[in-house]
Amino acid sequence: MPNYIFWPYESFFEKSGAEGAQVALAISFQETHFVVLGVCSSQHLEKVIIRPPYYILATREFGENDWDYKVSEPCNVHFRIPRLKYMQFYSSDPISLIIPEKAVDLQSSVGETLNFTKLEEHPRYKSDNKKLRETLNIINLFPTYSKSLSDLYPFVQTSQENLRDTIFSDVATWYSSTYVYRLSTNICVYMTLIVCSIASFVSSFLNYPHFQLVNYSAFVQQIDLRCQQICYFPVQYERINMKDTIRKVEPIIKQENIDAELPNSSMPCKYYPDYILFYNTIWLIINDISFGLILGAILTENRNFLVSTSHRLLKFFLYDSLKTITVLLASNPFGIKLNAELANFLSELFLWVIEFSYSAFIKVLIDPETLSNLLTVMIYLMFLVGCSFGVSLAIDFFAILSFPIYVFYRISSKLYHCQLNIMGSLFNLFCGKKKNILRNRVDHNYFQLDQLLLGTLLFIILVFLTPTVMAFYMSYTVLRMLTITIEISLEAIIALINHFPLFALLLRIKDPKRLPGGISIELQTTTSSMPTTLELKNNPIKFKSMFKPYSLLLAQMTTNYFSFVTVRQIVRGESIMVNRNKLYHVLYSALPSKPLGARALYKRLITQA
Amino acid sequence: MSKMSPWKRLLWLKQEYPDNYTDPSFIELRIRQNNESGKKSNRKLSEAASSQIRLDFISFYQTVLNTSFIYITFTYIYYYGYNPIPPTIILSFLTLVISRKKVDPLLSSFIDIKSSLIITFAMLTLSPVLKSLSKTTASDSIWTLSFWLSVWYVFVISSTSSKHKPSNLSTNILVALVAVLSSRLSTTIDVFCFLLICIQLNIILPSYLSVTSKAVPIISNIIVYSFLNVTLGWIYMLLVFFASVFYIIVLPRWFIYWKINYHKKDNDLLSTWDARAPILD
Repeated sequence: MPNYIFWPYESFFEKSGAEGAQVALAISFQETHFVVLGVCSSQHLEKVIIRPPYYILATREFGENDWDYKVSEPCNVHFRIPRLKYMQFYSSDPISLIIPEKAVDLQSSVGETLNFTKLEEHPRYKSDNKKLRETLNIINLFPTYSKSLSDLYPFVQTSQENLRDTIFSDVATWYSSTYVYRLSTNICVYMTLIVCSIASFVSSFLNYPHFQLVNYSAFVQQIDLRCQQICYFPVQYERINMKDTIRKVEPIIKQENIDAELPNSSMPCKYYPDYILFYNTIWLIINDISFGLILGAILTENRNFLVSTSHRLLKFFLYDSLKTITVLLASNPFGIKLNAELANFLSELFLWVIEFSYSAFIKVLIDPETLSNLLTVMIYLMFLVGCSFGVSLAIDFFAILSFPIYVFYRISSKLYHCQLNIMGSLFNLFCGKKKNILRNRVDHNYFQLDQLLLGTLLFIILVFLTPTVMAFYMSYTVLRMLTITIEISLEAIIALINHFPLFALLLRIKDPKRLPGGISIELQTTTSSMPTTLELKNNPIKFKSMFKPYSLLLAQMTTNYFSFVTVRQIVRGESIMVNRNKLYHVLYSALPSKPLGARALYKRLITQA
Repeated sequence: MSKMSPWKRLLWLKQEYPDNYTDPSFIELRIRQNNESGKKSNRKLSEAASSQIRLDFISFYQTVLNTSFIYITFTYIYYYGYNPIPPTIILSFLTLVISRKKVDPLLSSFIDIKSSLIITFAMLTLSPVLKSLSKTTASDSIWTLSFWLSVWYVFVISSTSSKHKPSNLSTNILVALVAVLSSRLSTTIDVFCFLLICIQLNIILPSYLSVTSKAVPIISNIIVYSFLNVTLGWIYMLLVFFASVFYIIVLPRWFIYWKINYHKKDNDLLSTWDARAPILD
């Protein structure tokens, strides 16, 4: 197996130095490859002895371009030094834009077997790239290591990240030592605590297990989401800051330890997702508010038109058309011969419900004045807290208005379902059979004459009544699906506003190295005289994986609403009910499943301070 | 070799015989069958078998006659618009008398009373619903439906083995047929009487009266032919009459002749050696 040597792209490695022979110094721990850190002229090494974890890797005579390697089978891998300041790094696995505790949830939610994942992660079947990963860690912290090397052996020429101390940072350090700073930080911490505890209280109230308001209202769900985000902000911020502290207080390897393990420092890539998620959320919130301002302004301008149009539309859709359909169903629609008595009865029942609900609340709600008031509230909400709140309020309003349709759908589906069930068992009786529950099969059975007569008479009656019930059921199901589709499309807009990976996308465009989606090692030169040279490259993360929660949501929606399963459910008369919270849970990938409590937050913040 | 237990013709039993074991009784059977089929000249059906065939033909005829009573009753009420109450009362009385005479134990008669009460009240309750059931459906579709139901009924009832206890399915088809027809009737009383008459005629009475007795077939024949005469005229009546005479007298002879001369005994081995119904014990 060849010895891989990782070279940074630096000019002083390429050209031979001015004075005499040169020596390349590399760092290597037990479980890593060699990473070249710097060069020095060989005359310096006459006085000092290089100790592990640093090694003399190669020498070069004066005037020559090629290195003379000390190790057998050298294989060069070149890389560009990732600039920590700009948050560039290499990663063998794609960076996850989903917090780790949710990653498992996401997979299980689409029915991927967890066993397979376990098997995949088993060390026996896993490709052994631990060595590479550790080396990548060294490369990611390259400036720190080269600095510690040059601290130890000042004569070594290393690449330096110029950490300039500006006047601004001087002022900052001075300021951080003053009393005012301490006071203001304390005030900030307690303010954060108060806000977070309120948010976590609200969120836990809305998620009260016995009556989850979140499931019923889009508006409440939106409030809950915002609260959870607020609760999670301090945690994320603290994590990002912890990354900074780690970078500064890097364990400097000065002591000469032979069996040196890689310093168990937390690697930067661990905290970058938090950084991205944090700023993504903030950006989305700001975006939301700016959208709200725009949309609110538009709504204000077209206020009168909107009010009158929506009044007419809602009245037509929720009252006139419903009434027309129900009346039509009673009078042999499209020449389909329904049972007159039952159709009249059902139609009268539904007409009564329509009239009642219209006079009870729909008439008041779709009154132009109420609509205008509602629009005012919506516009204020949009101006203050964002577009998504306004839209979710509209969804809730629509859901309340379409409640009669939901009721019709439930009534007719219950009727239809019961009828199908009864017909199923009566059909068994018709064939002289009976379902055996103990063995879960259909057995022969000898019925009494009266049982047979009654059963068959009822069966025939039900068979004749089926088309009538089905006509009602189908027409109300279509209406229900229509309202569901409207709600879903509005909710999809909200989902886009709330969870779009905007920051990540912009980062991807601006600097793909900050979003590594794995590495690739490419063959660079194939000159026979030189040892094989490879190049380490960063693969930017794929767009598909950035939108993974969306594709999952889309898949779930199609299985819930627009799939063969749904059609089967409709035909069987089972109600299509979807737990809204569960559905959109997929998108909460950037949030922990439970908001952090105030006490835990207090602990974290205080220990940090 | 010690004494083996005798071989049994059961597949699920683990026996000490090899898989390709052939029992001597099988070979005996084959030899006997070959001998029988060899004597072509004296092939003749036994007297019992041919009389059974005749009986089967007659009983099928009887079933068709019984089924036609449904249509007779229906025409009586629907087409002629006669009052259905007197025949219902007479028939119910008749049924009661016959069932009294036949059934002696106290308990079973009590059960019969219970079930007949249930049936009666259920029919009383459901007849208004039945009446309105197919009001908007075209008559032709109902006639078609009832025709196929009656064909199915005749097929099912004539293919069941025991005559005394009609199968569940045939009863159900009959009730379905009656219910479908009754949905064309206009008043509740008509529906109820029609249901009652048909059930008594086709379900209750046949279980009490045996087919072999002379009086019942004669009465039913007289009723059917006189009805045909009244409704369709004497030409059609005669046509039907000759057809049924042909069916009862000529067809069985023809069948017996075919069975003796042309019937191939392909399935002899299967029907004698293999069990027709699975043996589970």
